[in-house]
Amino acid sequence: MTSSVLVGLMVFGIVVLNVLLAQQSFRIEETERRIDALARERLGLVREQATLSAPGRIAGWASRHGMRLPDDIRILRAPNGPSDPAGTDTSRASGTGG
Amino acid sequence: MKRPPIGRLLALLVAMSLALGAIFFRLAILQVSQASDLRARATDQRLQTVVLPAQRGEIQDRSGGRLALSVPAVDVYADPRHVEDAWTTAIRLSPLTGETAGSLASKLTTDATFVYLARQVEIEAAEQIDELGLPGIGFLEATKRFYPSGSVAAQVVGFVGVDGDGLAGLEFEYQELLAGTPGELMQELDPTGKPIVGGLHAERTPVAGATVVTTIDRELQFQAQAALEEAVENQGARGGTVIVMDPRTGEILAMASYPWFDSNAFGDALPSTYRNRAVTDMFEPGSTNKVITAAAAVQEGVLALDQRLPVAWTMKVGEFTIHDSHPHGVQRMMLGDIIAESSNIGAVHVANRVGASDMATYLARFGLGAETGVGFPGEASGITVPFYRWDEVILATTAYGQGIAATPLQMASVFATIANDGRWVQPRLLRATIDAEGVRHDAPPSPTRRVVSEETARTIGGMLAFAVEHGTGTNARIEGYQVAGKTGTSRIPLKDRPGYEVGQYIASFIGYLPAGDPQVVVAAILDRPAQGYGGLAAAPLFERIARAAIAQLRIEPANPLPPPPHAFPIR
Repeated sequence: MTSSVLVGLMVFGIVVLNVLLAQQSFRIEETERRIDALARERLGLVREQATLSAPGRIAGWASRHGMRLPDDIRILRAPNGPSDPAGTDTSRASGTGG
Repeated sequence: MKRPPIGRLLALLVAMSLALGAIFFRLAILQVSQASDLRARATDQRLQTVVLPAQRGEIQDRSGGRLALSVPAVDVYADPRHVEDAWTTAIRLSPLTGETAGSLASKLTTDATFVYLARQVEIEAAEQIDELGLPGIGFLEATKRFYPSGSVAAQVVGFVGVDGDGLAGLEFEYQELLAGTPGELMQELDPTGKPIVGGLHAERTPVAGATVVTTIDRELQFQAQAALEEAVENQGARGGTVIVMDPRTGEILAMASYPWFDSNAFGDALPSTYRNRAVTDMFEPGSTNKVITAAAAVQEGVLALDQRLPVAWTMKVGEFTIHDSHPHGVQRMMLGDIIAESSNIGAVHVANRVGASDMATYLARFGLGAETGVGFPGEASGITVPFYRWDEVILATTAYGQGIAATPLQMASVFATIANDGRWVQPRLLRATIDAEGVRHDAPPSPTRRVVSEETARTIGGMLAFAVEHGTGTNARIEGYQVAGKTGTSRIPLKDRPGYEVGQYIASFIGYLPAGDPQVVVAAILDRPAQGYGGLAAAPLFERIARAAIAQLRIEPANPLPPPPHAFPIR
């Protein structure tokens, strides 16, 4: 009688162990699928960011919205500002520095 | 009961012994001599080894903007043995793969067990194909190289083939670095193909390729290309090349040749558009080469700056007659006038004073006739005449930049040398690499060498600024900034015989700004423009790109260089 119970428990234990191992196997597989999906999503987002920041796209968008590059370039210096140690040289701001 | 005869019993014993012996013998063979082989075969049936591809590294611009990256894709294949109706399958796949139905049907009817139907298909398209549930069609994971900016810097970046190997440009140059090292996964599978938990599982992780950070400024590159395309169209030119570089570091900020191509669809473009002509192609530099002639004269002290030379409009050299671009009487020019007016005859007089030996030396010192070592595949070294072949004609034509050939990059480096106070800096396209662990490794500073003294360089700079303010380069002027530069109008050698094309020119303008504290060198070159002269066709292109550089790099004006002594009245 005792030996039958022992054998039964052993068989049950083996079955439980097998189920747990199979379950673990499925969980690993599912986790790997999720990792792959997230990696793909990340790359997709990187691609989208790269596409959106491309200068041609930005220039096209700006042009469609009526923007354009300035005709003239002027460097403006704030009196006593950090880029003007002397604090007096404003002549270059008017485009006469050259 | 009669007992069997002893003979039969013995025979039976012998037969059974032999049979048992045979079994033992066979067992010994299986367990001993063939054991390792059979064990390996059994393991092979359970083990699966998969190559784990390494993610190819990105190519970025100097600020981290992506110029090339790899994105997930799918290869679609077929096992023709299991395809039920080749034509129906082909017609249904055609719009999703971009292949014609005829081409697909041909692949689906081949006598093979595996055939690619489409490589590097977008994930969404592959999902749609999967939903069709077509028998005999399968999928393999892959990656696809994607160039978000399309044609921007396409000739510099290059492209990769379907197997992901670099075929051109920096993709080719840094193939080993970008490719990384593939990994390997070995695991034990059950009969259903699932990994056995606790079974053998060995993984060698792939090492992703390094990111290559270029010196290119993506925004400036875009604006330079836009300006070049417009100039080529306006001038009805055959093509053109632009280079923007930092003379202090040798870093190339923009580089392009028109016509170009879209790296995402390089197969649709003419192979000739793949060439980064700024590095791989040569041209006769024409009058831009007078910078070397003048620098050699000043450095060697063969001519006082206020010395006047009698310059006629033609001159007999050997059996040839050379001339200036426009007829004029004999004029008494100083070196500053010769550069400002771009006089060929004046340049020949100067070169004659420098002498063939020193002229050849200075050409080499400025980097002509040798690759710059910029780090780009297929760089041309240019053509200079070996010194033993120099004669009075070679000396004369070299003085104004004909009879020799240089790449646009070599000529940009010549001006960068003057801008950099007489020190040549090797141009470069690589700013840094970022390894798989994310550690950044800055490229070492470019090698440099002294070519002319700082004093000589600034004297020449003053002449180049004078040429822009009052000479042939006035179309390159930018209000508020002193620009230094030189025009070039060079004849185009015939390809099949000696001589030059009639009425066709390469127009160029190469210069830098601000002249007193140079921050950027711009080379603008147009191939056969309608307005043949460099001052008319190329200088406006220079001006537009220089303006873009001022805005993009926030360049401030600097104190101007003084003009050189000059005999000509200021225009």
